[in-house]
Amino acid sequence: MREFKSQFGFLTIAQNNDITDYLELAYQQALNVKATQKQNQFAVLVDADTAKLITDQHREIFDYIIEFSTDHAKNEHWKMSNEWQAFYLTPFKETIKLESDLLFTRDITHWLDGLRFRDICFSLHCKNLQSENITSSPYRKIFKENDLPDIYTGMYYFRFSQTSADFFRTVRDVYAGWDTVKNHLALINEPPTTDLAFAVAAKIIGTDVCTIPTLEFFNFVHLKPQIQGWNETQAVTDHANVEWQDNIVRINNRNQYYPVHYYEKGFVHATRRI
Amino acid sequence: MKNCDVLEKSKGVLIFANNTGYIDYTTIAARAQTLAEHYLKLPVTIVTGQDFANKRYNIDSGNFEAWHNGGRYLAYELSPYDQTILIDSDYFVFDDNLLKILDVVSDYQITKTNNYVCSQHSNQMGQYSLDTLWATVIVFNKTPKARMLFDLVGVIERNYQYYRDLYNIEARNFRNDYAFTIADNVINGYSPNQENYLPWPIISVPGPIDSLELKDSKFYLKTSGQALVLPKQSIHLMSKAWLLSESCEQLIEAAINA
Repeated sequence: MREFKSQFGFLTIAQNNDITDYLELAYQQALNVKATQKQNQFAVLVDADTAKLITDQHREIFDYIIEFSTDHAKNEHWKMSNEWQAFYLTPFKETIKLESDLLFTRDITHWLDGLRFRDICFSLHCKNLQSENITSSPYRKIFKENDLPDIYTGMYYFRFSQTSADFFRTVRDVYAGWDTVKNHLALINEPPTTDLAFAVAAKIIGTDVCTIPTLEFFNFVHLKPQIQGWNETQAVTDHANVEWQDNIVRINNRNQYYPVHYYEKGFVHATRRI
Repeated sequence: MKNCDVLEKSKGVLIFANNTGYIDYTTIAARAQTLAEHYLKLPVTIVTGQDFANKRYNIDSGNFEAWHNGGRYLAYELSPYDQTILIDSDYFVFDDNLLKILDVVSDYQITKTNNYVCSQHSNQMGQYSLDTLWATVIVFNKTPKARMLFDLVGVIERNYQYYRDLYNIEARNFRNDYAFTIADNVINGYSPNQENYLPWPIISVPGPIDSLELKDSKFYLKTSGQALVLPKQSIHLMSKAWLLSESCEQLIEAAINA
C-alpha cells in the first residue's frame, strides 16, 4: 500500500538545462505558494544533476525534495519525458501539479471543492491578460487539426485513484511509443510537448473523465505573445507594463487574479525584486 | 397610485458643445437636443465655454483642426439632474432606450462597445493597452462612486502625458474616451466591472456621409463607398459637415413629424 506524507500539496518538476535554472523558478514558485495559499505544502521533483545544486535556502522552503530514480529526459534539452512520473512520486494524496513558471496571485484552496468532482482534472483553454478565454490560438493548430482536447498542463489536479493511475500510465506509453503515435497524427514530427502528450492521453482515456468544462475558474493566464494577439517576437517583458503590489501582479494596468503562467523564464527577475 | 412620500429623482440630458473656428458645435448640440427632447421627453442642458486646447483629425476635410474637448469631467458638478444622460453632441437619439438605463443604473454606465456600420476598427487604446470605453454615452447618478469617476477623469486630463505613457496609448491627442477608460479601470480596482457598461453597443457612422434619410422607420445611408439600410435607432454620426448640413435638419424634421 502506497504511503503518502500529506493530504494535499503542490508539486513541480525542476530539471535545469544549460539555458534555464528551473530550480530557481521552482524556488520562486514555492515562495509564492507559501505567501498566497492557505494549504501550502510544496514538493519538487529533481534529477541528479539539479539535486546537487540544492542549498539550505532551498531546503528551508521546499517541504519535499524528491529525486527521480530514473531520468527519462536525460538526453532531452527541453526535459518533458518525466512528467508522467508526477503521479508515482508525489508525496500527496491530492496534488496540484504546476509548471515551475506559474505564480498565484490569490488563494485557490476553495477550487478543490470543484476539482474533487474528478479524479484527475485539467484546465480547458487558457486566458489572456483581459481574463478572456482563448479557445483558439496559433499555438494550438496541431490540437485543432487532430481534434485533441484543448487542455493545458501548466496546472492540473489529480488524486491517488485508479483513473489517475490509468491516465499517467497512458501518458508514459504515449511518450514511449511516440514514433508510432505520431503516425496517427497530422502536422507532427517533433518530440511531443507535455500538453500534446497529455492531450493524446486524454483523448484515449476520455476527455470527459479528466476535464470539467463548466469549471471555468480552474484556469490560468498564459503570457505567450500570440495569446494576447501580439506578434511572436513581442515579449511581455519588453512591451507590457508590469507592476507588483504584494502578491498581485498588474500587467498593462489589469490586475491578474488568475494564476499567471509567465513562460518567459526571466519574467520575475525582469519585473520584480524579490 | 403614486407614492407621494417618495421624491422623484430629476432626470435630464447633458450635452457639451464648444465651438471652434471650424465647427459650430452648438448648432450640432441644438439639433441633438431637439431629438433628445422628442424621444426621451426629458429636459436637455447644453454646457459650453470650455477652451481646452486640443486637435482632432477632421474626417470631412482630412486636416487636423482645433478641438475643445476638455472639461468633460465637470459634467458631474454641472449637471442639474439627479440622473444624467451625458451624450456627445454628435450622438443623435432616435429611440427611448436610454430611459431604461435610468431605471437600472447604480453609479454610472458607460458605452463598452461601439459598432461602426461600414468599417472595422481597433477597439484598443493601443496594441498593449486596454479596450476603449466610449464617452459618447454615459448615464450616471449623483453618487460618491460616480463623483470619483469624474474627479479622476479630471486628474487624467490634467496629467494626460503621464497616463498616456502608463497605459501605452498610441494617439497623441487627449480623448475623453481614453480618460474615462482609465478612470473606470482604476476605480474598479484595475479590473473590468460589467455593471458599469451599457448593455448594448452604440452604432456609429465614422466617415463622411453622402446622404442619410429616414423612410418607413429605416435609415437609408450612403457614404462614398457604401449604401446601407439600418433600423431606426440612436446613432453616432461623426461627420460634422453633414451634421451641420440642411440634409441633417430635414432628417430631424422627418423624424419628429413621423
